[in-house]
Amino acid sequence: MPHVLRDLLINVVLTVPLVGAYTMFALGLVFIYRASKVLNLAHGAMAMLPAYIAYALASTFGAIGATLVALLAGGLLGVVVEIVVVRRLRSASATSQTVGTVGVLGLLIALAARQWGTTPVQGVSLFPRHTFRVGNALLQLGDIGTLVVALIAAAVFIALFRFTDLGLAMRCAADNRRAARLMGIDPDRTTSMAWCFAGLLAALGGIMLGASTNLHPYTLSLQVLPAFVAALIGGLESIGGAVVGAVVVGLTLGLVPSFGQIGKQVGAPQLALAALAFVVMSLRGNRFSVADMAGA
Amino acid sequence: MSPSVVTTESSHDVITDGNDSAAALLTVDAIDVHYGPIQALRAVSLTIGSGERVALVGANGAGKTTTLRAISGLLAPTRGRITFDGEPIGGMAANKVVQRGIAHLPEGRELFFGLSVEENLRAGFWSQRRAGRAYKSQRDQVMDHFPILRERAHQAAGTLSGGEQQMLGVARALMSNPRLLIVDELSLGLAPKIVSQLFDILAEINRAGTAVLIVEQFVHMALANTDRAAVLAKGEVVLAGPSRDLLADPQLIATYLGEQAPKPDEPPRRPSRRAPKRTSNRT
Repeated sequence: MPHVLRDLLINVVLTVPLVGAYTMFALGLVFIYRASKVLNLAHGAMAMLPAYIAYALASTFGAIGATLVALLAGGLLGVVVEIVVVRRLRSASATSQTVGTVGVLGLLIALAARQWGTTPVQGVSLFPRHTFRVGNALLQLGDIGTLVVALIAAAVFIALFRFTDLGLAMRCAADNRRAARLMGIDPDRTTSMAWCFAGLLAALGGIMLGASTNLHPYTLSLQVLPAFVAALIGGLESIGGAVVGAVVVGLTLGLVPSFGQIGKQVGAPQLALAALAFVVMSLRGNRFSVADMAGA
Repeated sequence: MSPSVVTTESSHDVITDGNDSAAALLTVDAIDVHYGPIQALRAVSLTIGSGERVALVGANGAGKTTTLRAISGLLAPTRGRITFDGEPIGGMAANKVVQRGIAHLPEGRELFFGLSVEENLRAGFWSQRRAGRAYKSQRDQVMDHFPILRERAHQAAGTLSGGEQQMLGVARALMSNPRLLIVDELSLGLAPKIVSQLFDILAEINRAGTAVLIVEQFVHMALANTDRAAVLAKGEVVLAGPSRDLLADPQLIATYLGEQAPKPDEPPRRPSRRAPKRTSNRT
């Protein structure tokens, strides 16, 4: 196999954990955007805090027990942020609500830094520390696990939105809050549910990313940023689109370093991502259509 | 002035027209509604008997839609009482009111445009899903009024024609098995032929026992299709009585609507001639 192709393959393989984590983050961002029309800039912190909770509880409850507790905490955190911050700002513009989530971001990072310090630690891993050799690269079992879990989570939520009464109510409220109310649906409740699911997925992504890289209050909170691009590529309201977006973003970040000297330079993948986001947004224009939701 | 038409100087009088208020399905008793500091309704009263058809007419901005929203719970009255079936519902959240048996089809339809026809109907059934009624039988019963919707069941609501959308709006409202159906501007943006077809369907639904409250810009059409009517002007009920009496006295309506009411034998006007400000995506 030629050198370039082998490098390319290795780099694709190395994007596996990123794609998994971005999928979970982007799905959460889409749930929240659909329900509240808010870009949740606190999403990274909502991934980071439960990852620390799992880390802190692992010695007491074991990895699986600690992870379950942290997932519940993540869901709860989502609901609390929605009720305490976002709902209060609902009469204000979406921009004000988005700024409100920035406040949450800062608060959660400060809390974590105070409690656990700013020295990176190794997060809890749900999978045995087994590594595979792919060419010259090492791939952990947990990396593959992250992708598998992410795809299962996406399938579960797509089914939930499509086939359950709760999913129907959430889609109705996302489409037209007032009409949903007239049907007997409480849109405040469905919005809280959306934040709960998003918080849960953020926690899952945070825990897995914390295991495959490491845990740090700032770093993990900012690692979510590419997921915003993923959600944007998918049109912000489409679940399927978020999954596709996560794959595109993961591949972009992973593949750029294969392209010669320029690709290897610091910041090149990020620049490529920014260019990608720019192109997608120019092509889409305002067409963030509600029709995307029909395809969920 | 026709003697049977009741003009209400104080506007506090509840329209009864021989309807015993104890038998009234809905009683709106002297409600005020405010939008912030602006008062939109002043002591508006209205009763609807079981199985009755009532129209609310008035110029743009008179408070018709506001009245409907207060009844269905989208707005809370700042004063006065609303009772449905003897129970107070004034200020109750809309998602609770629909469970009591009031379905409100809002102006502009407000369908779930991104969802399929079938999903819109499932949403309409939401308040009934634990009431022990079967979704399928309810849907089949409702669909009998709208055969075209059967063919469109899997199409997104946003891709339907205007007339089909309005049919879906009515069908979705009927899915909650209401005792009172509220319809705001059934004719909005639709061709006259489709409007009269929709009014025929409303009459069918009414014959099956559902009371109907309509707001309609075409006064003639509203009066011809109802038993009683109330005229709103600047947030107050200024005139109320049997629809046929109001219809027989076009001068009265003209006074309050600022336009000449059509003669009974004149066909209904097309939206573009009298109401150029309305959306005109007629189909």
